[in-house]
Amino acid sequence: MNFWASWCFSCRVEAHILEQAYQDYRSQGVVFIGVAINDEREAALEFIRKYGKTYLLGLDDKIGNISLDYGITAVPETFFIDRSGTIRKKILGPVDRPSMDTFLATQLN
Amino acid sequence: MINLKQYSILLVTLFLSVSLFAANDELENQVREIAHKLRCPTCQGLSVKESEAGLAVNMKAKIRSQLLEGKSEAEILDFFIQRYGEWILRSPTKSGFNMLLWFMPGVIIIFTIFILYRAMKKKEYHASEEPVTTLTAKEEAQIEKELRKLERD
Repeated sequence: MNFWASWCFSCRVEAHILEQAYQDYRSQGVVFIGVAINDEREAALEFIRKYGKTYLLGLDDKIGNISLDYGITAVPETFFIDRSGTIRKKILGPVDRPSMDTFLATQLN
Repeated sequence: MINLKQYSILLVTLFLSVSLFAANDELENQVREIAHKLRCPTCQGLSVKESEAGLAVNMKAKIRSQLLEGKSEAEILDFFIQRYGEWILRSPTKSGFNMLLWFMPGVIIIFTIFILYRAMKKKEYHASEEPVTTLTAKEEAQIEKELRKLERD
């Protein structure tokens, strides 16, 4: 579960990393979700097109209920959630591929 | 000319507008009061009330919506503590380990005063106990002898 925004510079850094990881793991049933916070629909769609994102993406509501529920402090922030729905890890700032691979290795075996 | 029916409608509308405005004002005061107790997660040293950052604006909106749902201040603060931890409060709660933070400065001041008081008392005691030196008979005789010798010379 990745929180991002089209106006966030660090989100551009991780955009391709997330998309590539999704392409590599989607066949194994791993779900990637991106929630854009404090963003405009058109700006978010432009970002999605520009970085070729294909996983499940959407906007948080006006109050930011989803991001507040997750205790977001800034974007980007990424939560690693296991099969039972328990948050196992939180990454502040751009997510990196080794962290995703390490977590997913523990979940997919 | 306004007839009685129109006048009554006007009066009721005016009354309802004033009541609605007062209620909204009260709600906004409560939002500000709670927002003042919360730390803005994305800002440095600002409360949610003072900040206009996107997240702080969202937090204020969340406080407003929870107040409209009938939640109490304690319940709203608890909502944020559960998600962000106690860190989100600008003043730590007066319970558990936090009690130490609240009372430690007072304890340190009292302890320092006690230490200083004891040190001063000890000094006073030693000053009053300064030994009075008296001469022995032999010493007095010696001095007497020396004085007589001086007078002679």
